[in-house]
Order: sequence, then structure tokens, then C-alpha cells
Amino acid sequence: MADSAPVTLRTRKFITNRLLARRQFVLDVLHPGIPNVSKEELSEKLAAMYKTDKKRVVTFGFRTVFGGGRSTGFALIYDNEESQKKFEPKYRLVRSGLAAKVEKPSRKLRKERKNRAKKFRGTQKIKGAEPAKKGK
Amino acid sequence: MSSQDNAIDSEQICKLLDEMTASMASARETIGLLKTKGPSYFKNKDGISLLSLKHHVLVSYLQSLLLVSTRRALGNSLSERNPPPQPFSSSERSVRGAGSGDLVDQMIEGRIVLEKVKTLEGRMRYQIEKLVKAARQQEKVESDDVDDPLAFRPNPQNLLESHDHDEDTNADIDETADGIYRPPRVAPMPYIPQTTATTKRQQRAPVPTALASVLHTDGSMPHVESTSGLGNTPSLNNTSSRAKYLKHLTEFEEEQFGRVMMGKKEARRRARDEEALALGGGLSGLGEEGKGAGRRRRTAGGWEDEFGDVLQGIGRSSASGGDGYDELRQRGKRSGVLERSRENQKRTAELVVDGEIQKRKKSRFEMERKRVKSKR
Repeated sequence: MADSAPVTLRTRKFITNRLLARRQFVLDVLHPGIPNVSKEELSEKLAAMYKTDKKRVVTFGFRTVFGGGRSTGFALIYDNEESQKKFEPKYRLVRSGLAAKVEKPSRKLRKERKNRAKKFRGTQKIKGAEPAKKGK
Repeated sequence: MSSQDNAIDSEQICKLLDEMTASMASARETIGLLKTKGPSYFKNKDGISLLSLKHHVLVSYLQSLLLVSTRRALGNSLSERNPPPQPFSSSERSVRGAGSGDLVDQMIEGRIVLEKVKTLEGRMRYQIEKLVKAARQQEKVESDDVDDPLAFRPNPQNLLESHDHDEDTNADIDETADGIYRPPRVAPMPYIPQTTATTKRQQRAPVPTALASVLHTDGSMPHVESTSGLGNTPSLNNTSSRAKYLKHLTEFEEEQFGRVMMGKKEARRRARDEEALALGGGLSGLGEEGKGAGRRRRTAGGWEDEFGDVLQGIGRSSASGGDGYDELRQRGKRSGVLERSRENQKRTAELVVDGEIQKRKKSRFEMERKRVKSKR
């Protein structure tokens, strides 16, 4: 898809956050003619602008204004990977691929299992957690 | 020149002498009057009163003044003194000597006494005024109690003479012969519901948004133009509190570096309100509570105004092409005879009744028709 017009990035409220080892700012994206710009493309462009690895760049919270052409969101650029792993919330790490998603059974299922296991004591809990087999 | 001065002086002296003779003649007259009154007039068995003390002291003052001036004119010195040994406060004080210094002392004494008398008189002012008034009034004039300021002094005698009160009928205490309390009669007044500021505001027509900016523009200030060229739209003015709230919200989010948690409903409402603002329309309602009645109040501009005719055409199962414009065209056409008669009937039924608007009595046919429709 060829861009009808070049995408413009504007940064506002730039803060160097030494405590969290990152640089954070509000990002205005001007994209006339396109619905919006994807987060990966944005992080690539920002990495080129700030001369860092594109994996260090995190973007989130984008909202397009009514009428199109402009969206506003936030972006962070971490100094190194370990600080990123330390300070970023889990879901954003999963989004950027630095952490694996923990697959759990659904919350309801977990709670049901727990309540069933409450009836038993000791190693019988594991067997008792399974639901009673339905009669054929 | 000296002759002129002398002439002026002699004129003045002649004038003064004439004045003196005239005043002396009038004084002689009054003294003659006093002489005819007799010695009983001057008897003071209770002692001299405060008011006459002033006169006596003043007369002696004048006497001493006269004597001092004559002696000075003759060339005597004023330092011959023969003061009495006792102090002023003792009543057995002997008379002063006849020296000029004594006269001067007497004048000084008199002056001090007059000053003291003045203060005492100030304290007794009320009684003196009453006496003067009583002396002036020959016949008993019925003066208004309200006008007379002296009548409002508390009179403890009124408390003692309680048996005289049967004569004085007070207009306030209306007691009948049997002593039953009858409440005062009150005239019936019509009930006028109070118009508070909110009711007045509701009844008044709202200012049209095209003219709303005129309220805020100041004629004396130069015309303000914005860089975007949009002018005075309601959203730019941030007149509604909802608009202000949304603006505050966006600023807050940018400052806090994160989006605010919102439920689905809230998020949808926010998006809708922001669309309305972007189209130049106003918003109603306060802050987060533009809900309910506040939201339903349709303000000018906004999404509904811009695309209302198109949107409202969607989902309407009408005989026309499904478009809002077609529906308008249909509406403009005259309806059939049956529909028109029904409309007229409804209107006349409401007009006939004077007092209350009664519900139109439904005929048997109408009831049957309704039942058929509901069954379907």
C-alpha cells in the first residue's frame, strides 16, 4: 500500500525519566489519507529517529481524532533490555515479544477446580479436582 | 493724617457712648421691673437653684470686669490682693477684699463655676427641657406621641397606676366581653408558585448558538480571530461543562502519560461527545453526568445535526424509498379524508371542553379496531 502522503511524527512533553531508565513522550502522528499507522511501523520510525534498537521502543494508547488524519498516543524508549524487562508491565512485554504469555485456564475454570478440591484433603485433591465423570 | 485718625476715633467714640447710654437705659428699665416685684421674689429658702446660679455668677462677673477696667483706666495696678484665708469648699468663707487683684481672682472663680455649671446642666438637660416646655404650653394641646421625642422616656408611674388602664383601650389587645381569643381574619390570597432561577431559565427559550458568541464578545475589545479560522463555535468556547470536562480529560491523560480506565459505555459516550465537538456542535450536561435528561437535550451542531437526516432515514420501514427526504416529501402531501377527519375530531374535542381536558370517549368501533391491531 503506497502512502498518499508521508507520515509525520511529532513528539510533545519529552521527559528523560532517569528513575525508570527511559525516555517518554506524547506522540502525534499525522497520517492524511490512511486510517492509522501500525505500532510496529511507528516503533521502526522512532528507532531510526532516536538511533536505538526498535525493540527498545514501546508505543501504546493511540486514539485517532474524529475525521481521521491524526492520532495521539504515548511512546517510551528504554535504555537497555534489562531495565525494560524490569519496569514494563507484563502485557506490553508480551506485545513486544520479550516475555511469553502465561497460558492459564479460564478464571471460572480455576475457581471451579479450587472449589471442588476444597472437599478433599492431601493428595486426593488432585484427583478430586476433576469434575465427576458424566454417565454415558 | 493724624487729624483724620482723630476724626475717625471721635466718631467711633461717639458711637460707643451712644450704645452705652442705650444699654444702660434698658438695664435701668429691667431693674425697675425687678424692684416692683418685691423682695419675696428673690427669697430662696431651698437655696439657690442651678439655673439662677448662672445668672448670679454672670452678674458678679460683669461687675468685677467693670471695676477692673475702670481701675486700670485710672492707672491702678491689678496686683493688690487680699484673699480670704478659708478655701473655696468651706461655706464659712469670708468675703474677699476690695483690691483689684481680688476682683481678678473673683472673675477667674466665676469662670470656673460657669464651666462646671455647664456640665451639670448637660446632665439635667431633659428635665430642663420638660420644664421649659411646660412653661410654654398654656393650653393642653393634644400632641402626637410619635412626634414628641420627649414622650418616650420610661415612666415607672405607669406600673403603679394599673387601675386606670380600663379607660385606655389599646387597639392591639382586642378582647371581647367573654374573654375568648379570636384569631385575626386573614384575607384569602391566590397561590402564585415561586419562580426560582432554574424554572425561569427553563421557561425562557435558550439562546441560539449562532448568537451565543455575542454574549461573550466585548464591544470595546478588538475582534479576536483564531488561527484555525473556525471562529466562535460552542466547543471552542468550552461553554458546556461536558466540553470542559473532556478537554480536562485529554490534558490529564497527556500529563499522566496513560489513558484513563473507562468502561465500554463511558468510552462510547466519550467518543460520541468528541465527535459532536469536532463537528462544531455544543454539548449539554455536567462533567461526567451528561446522562439522562441532560443528554437528551439536543444542542445545536454536532453529529445529529450534520447527519441527522440521513441517519434517521436508516431503519425506517416506510412506504417511501427509506430515505429521510422521501419521508419529508410524504409528510408534505395531504393525507386522505379519513385521516384528516380524525385529526380534526381530536382537535375539536380538546377545544370544546372549557375547564379540563377530558379524554375523548372511544367508540365501540375504535375499541374493536385496537383489539384487532394488538392481536396482530
